[in-house]
Amino acid sequence: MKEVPAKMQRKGDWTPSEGSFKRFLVWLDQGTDTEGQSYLGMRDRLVTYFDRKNCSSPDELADETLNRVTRRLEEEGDIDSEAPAKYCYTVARYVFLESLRSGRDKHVSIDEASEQGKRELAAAEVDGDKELKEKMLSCLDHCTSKLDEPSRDIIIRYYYGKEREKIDNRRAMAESLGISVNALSIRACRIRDKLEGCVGNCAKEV
Amino acid sequence: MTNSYDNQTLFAYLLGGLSDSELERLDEMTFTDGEFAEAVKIAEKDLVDSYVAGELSGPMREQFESHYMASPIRREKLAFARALDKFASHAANAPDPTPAPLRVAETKASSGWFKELLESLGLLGGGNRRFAFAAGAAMVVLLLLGGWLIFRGSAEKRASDIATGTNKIENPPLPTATPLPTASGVPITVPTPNTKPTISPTQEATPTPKRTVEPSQPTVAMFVLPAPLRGAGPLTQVKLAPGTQFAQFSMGLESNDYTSYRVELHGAGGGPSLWNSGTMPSRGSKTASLSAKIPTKLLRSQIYSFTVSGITKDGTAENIGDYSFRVIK
Repeated sequence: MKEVPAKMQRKGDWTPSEGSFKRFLVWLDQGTDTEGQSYLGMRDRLVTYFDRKNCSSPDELADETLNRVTRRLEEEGDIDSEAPAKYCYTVARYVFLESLRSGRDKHVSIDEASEQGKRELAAAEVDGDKELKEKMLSCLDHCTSKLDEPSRDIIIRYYYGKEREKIDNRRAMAESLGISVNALSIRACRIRDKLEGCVGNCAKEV
Repeated sequence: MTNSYDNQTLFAYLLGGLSDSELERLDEMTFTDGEFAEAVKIAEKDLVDSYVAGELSGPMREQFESHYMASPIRREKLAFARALDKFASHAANAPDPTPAPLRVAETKASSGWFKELLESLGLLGGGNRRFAFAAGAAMVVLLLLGGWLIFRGSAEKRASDIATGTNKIENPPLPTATPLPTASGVPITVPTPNTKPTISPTQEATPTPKRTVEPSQPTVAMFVLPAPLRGAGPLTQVKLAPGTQFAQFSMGLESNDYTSYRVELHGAGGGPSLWNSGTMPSRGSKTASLSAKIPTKLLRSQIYSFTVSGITKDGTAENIGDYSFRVIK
């Protein structure tokens, strides 16, 4: 069957072919093969962006944005007006405004959402969510055991303690590692991201 | 670029406290400036951790609850932060990489050699005084029993030797023993009553005495689980040495108000019961402890919980408490 050119398809109908997706990855990498990491990073930023806007389906809107950029690349062959990250942001902003106008994405009002959040929090605090907590603890146990030893040590020591004790503890840790407190926080943040991803997957499996 | 944004600005960004134009500018920077994006990530984690630690107050706390918690994704981050906080506390409180299976509190009743014995066995350090005393007393009883058995075995053997004229045995027979891991996980050998060595009559004819020993007993590791704490207490670590066939847990009760009890073992996430004790009648004493002997093949390296229920006279089961512990194999 003859493929319909990208320009002739409606926005919502278009799905990237393998070729167009590869072209998009190459464009995003800007000459460095990141083996898909740039794509994952960009998708993550988009999801976070739409989530901060309180969109109810941040994943869908992120995919919609990536599809549009990929389609534009397919149509134009290249996009050199802006750097990939800036271009993706511009498209994301349009997608967000469009979703607001069309009412396609059900935006949750802050009041409504925070009420729901408070209800969930209250439920969690009265032990309604005990099972989830235990599951997360079990997954944390499993996921930290998969970390290399220095990372495991950092994540446990970095998050140990309260207020002053925590600050002093971090300063001492940074000193012992021979790095600045800022560098230590970046390192801990990356380990935590990895751990959070692992726990998220584990919690779904268990 | 990142350095020009202090945490207050980043917190305001995360809590919806910026003007539209400023918000848009920072939104764009989360895409175009990697350092800034990283700084926002770190600030977000700090913010959530501060909330978990109860360090946010006033308008900031209100904004967190009304704005930040409006999204399910962000509520998941909050749940993760809570779990990480708890996990880090437990892990950091563990005394060493091979933590003690027994966490029993210091007791005023223990003094002198008795206290030293408890300390040498790692029984002092945190938990419930009653357990410390009981566990220590149990050790003493076991040692006395062991000593008596050795003495009796030796005396019987001597009598037997005299009777059979084989009192020239160079190596006196030793009783077999059941390894009992100590708090530090190192097995100690305690003689058991039913493992008295028997000497075959044929040894009379043999120059080297041959001892017939009963088949080896199942290896049991014993652990005391402290009563559940109201706050977040340290999670008891249960280290099972290779070859251990059963883990015997003793769980202390605050009081003994029920006619019978039931103990169920669950995995960390709850779910179906992996083991249950059936109905265990109360022993009638004022205070009590319950015992559960679990085949170690049921246990993996993970967190488990015993759910203890008290059965009332009319047969109603009431939850008394959950005794959680982490198995390390």
